[in-house]
Amino acid sequence: MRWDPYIFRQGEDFDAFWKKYANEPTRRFLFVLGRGYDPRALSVLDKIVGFGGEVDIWLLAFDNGFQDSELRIQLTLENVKKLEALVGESKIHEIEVSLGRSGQGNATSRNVRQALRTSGSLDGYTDVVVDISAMPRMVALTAVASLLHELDKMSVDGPDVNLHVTTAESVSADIGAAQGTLRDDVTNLIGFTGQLDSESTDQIPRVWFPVLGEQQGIRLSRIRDKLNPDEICPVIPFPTREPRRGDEIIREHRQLLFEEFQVEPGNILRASEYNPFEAYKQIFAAMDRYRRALSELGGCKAFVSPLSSKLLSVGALLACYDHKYGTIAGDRMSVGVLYVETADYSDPVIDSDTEYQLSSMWLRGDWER
Amino acid sequence: MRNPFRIRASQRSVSDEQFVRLFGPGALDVVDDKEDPFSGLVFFRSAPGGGKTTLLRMMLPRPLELAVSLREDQQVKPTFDVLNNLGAVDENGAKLLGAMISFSTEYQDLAQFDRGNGLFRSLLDSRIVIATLRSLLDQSGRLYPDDLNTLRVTWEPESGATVPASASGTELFEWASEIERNFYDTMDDLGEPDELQGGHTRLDSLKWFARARMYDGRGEVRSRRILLFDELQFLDNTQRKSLINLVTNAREPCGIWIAERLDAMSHQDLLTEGALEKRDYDSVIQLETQWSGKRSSGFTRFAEQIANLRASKADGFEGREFFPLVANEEELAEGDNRYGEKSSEIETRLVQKTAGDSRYEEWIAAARKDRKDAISSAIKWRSTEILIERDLRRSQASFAFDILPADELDEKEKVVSRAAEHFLRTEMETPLYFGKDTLAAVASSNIDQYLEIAGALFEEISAKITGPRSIPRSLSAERQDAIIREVAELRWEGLVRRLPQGYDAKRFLEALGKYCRDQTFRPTAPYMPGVTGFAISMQDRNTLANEDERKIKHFLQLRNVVTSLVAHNLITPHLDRKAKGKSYMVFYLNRLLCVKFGLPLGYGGWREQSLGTLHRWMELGDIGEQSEREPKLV
Repeated sequence: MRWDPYIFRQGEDFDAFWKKYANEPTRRFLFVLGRGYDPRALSVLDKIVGFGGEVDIWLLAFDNGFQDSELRIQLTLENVKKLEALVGESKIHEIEVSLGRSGQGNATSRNVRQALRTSGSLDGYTDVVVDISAMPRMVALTAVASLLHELDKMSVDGPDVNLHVTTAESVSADIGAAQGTLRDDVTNLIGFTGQLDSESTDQIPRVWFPVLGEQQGIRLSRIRDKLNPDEICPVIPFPTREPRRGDEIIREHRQLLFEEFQVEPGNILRASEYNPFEAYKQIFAAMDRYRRALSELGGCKAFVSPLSSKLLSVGALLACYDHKYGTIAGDRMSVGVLYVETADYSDPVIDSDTEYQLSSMWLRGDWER
Repeated sequence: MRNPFRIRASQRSVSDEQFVRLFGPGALDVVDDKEDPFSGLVFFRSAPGGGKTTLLRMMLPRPLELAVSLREDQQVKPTFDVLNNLGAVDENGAKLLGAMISFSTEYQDLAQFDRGNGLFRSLLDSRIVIATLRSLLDQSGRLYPDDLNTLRVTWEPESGATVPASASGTELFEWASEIERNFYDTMDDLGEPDELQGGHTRLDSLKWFARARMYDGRGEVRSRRILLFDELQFLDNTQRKSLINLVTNAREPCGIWIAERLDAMSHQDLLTEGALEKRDYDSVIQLETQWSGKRSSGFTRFAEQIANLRASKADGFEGREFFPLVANEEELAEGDNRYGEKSSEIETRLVQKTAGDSRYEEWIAAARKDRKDAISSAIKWRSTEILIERDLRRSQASFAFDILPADELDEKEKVVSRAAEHFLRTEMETPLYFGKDTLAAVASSNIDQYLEIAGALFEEISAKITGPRSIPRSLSAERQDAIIREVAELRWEGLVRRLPQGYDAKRFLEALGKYCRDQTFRPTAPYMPGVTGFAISMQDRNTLANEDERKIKHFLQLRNVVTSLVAHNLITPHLDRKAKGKSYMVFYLNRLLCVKFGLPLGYGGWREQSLGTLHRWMELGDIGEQSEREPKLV
């Protein structure tokens, strides 16, 4: 497993780590940020710049085809102004990204990959930091996966650039926030089709790992209808800050899981809400058990749906990435990441009392040597 | 199985045998007026959950063979009989060789670097070939892909054709798999994708499928052939058009069934005849439309079949039928005199209202004389009240003073009694939505919606039947009403999430619901059984569907919301409704939304609205002001 051991910093450890790290004089940071209305958008950057980090910014500006409300426009502009004040206008490179709409398939993921690929060279930096706090899920996962892959490839005969994923997250605030409308279609993360629709491998069993969060019934139904899995292993967050969170998630989706999907209760997996690398290990191991058990029978395909917090989603993504590109004993299996994207957002409920926790995952680079 | 209504029969996880046992043969009624449904091109269109995939899956070899081998089973026999009548099977086995190809969003990724659709054709060629090989093995009872070497296919390709002229099953599989492998190598590359090589100039597999001589281990396969394309909505627009052109122009001697969701279609298609009438193709079957109007009784029968088949699969429910456990009447408890009291209340109201006016004496006396049960009596009083209200308004204008004869009340009462019952039950908060017919009606011709509602009822029925101290009693009208309303409420709560334009759509429907309620519950009940839809003039329809977008910028969002509601079966369009010499396009509310708004379930009432009013509904929701001049009732 590539990320065992791992480097993960959260809360006070986050500050301690970045204070030292950002201050190293040789470091040159590229920050990939979302241009959004989310009040958390600049929390991480604010810290790192405060610790003395020298940064350039790639600011992903999304267009989902809907008219933004006045409140969201105002909040977004405020964020951009704060950003300009923080790093200076000249450091910001704004990148337009068109988000896919219903009926446009994997356009979001495809456009993000294309935008990142054509935005400039990465080899002048020592560190790339993807801050996913204000990014839609599909954008965040595509950015992480494609940058990880590109930097991995670059390191073969070029500079070895570090990649970090950071976020300011509050599970309770995210549950309470309005969730927006959903697209009609199920999409996959680019590079992770799982060969879902392959005719020649159609007889190979499909195992689905939906990583569950609150209020995901519609997404679950749509993905299940599309995927037609042979086996379902729901992943619930546990341990969690709120001790009954996992139980509540199961209770909320019980009719869907146990009556419609006929999930075996013994298939339910638990993945740490606190620590995405622990979640990665648990999901990776579960996927690998199926791969090994079914390899004699012609193998299987694994599909993951990141429907929980963003950090847990990154953990699930790493499990897929490692199965696809990591060191695996025996035959690989096809791995897919399936999701139903948000089409339009409602206005955010701003609660100034909400406490966000800053987290940082060091995905590749110096620590691996 | 605890609640078999929660199973989606088209799912892969449902075995072929289970699928055949759950299949309601009434589903095939939609093709029974076709002289030969297995030749030429047939389109099946519906909102999600309409039953398209189920129809296609039934035409595959294994389900057909199972329908034959299980035909002695009482539950499967009706399916065998219908398939036999259609010519899909006989006692000896399947007479059709169906091959199914299901499209997905990956084709749209392909379209990004496939300008001439050549790669699309090559991928489709490979999938048609593989699907055919699988069906050949299924039909001959052999294993896929282990027994591919038992197959051989030969044909006479045109020059430059890509599908091998003569090859074993294994060779064909390898040929097709290679195309798929190349495709996925590119799709699954996180880096810069390599250029995909190849690409076919024709869709050779279509001709190959229709004309090739196919041999399984038993000899030449002489079954009629049918290609089943599912989920066409996932194709890119140019791919979809290209495929439709290819299969339309090829006129190959095989059947082609194409299933697609309405959301694949453009606003022009959805708002013009293309969606609703036979025009370009041999046949376009829009399932919701097909099941409505004169065929609605067919849907009711079909839904009954499904309910009984499902119920029989539930643990502890064996040997029972679903509908005897669903009450069709409201039963009043001993001493419950609510309806009697209501009758007295209406009587008092009418006597006060008509005091000193002898014109209504006979009507009131006739209502008093009515000696039927308490509910019928109360309905009669409420009908009389509506009729008197109508007459009062008319006679004040016309100065009519003649006494109205009692037999005239009987005649007129028949016309208003449904509305009167709806008014009465709404005012008294007694059950409105219950009984077998209601269950079929609230499904709005959509199988998923039906299963959702019936499944919720079954949950409670099953608990009453299967518990250790169970008493087999039918589910009361009150409980049915409460459960159906609960399902409607849950659907409503999920509406914003379900639709990409959810916020606008919800506001629009809120305003429409309020408008329908205001019109339905007018004291004179002017239209039976209520108003449950709106209409736009054909001129306005043309504006939305065909006008240059630059000229109707202010209506684009409205157009998107209306077409999205149509695509999701939340409103159902009906073209060319005529009234007073004008043509209209009428949109009826999904019947589960009628439940949400407390409206009657019958179709009929609608009123014309301007695009400006509809736009206001979308922007403001149910606080949107109605236009000052009330549109004319149609």
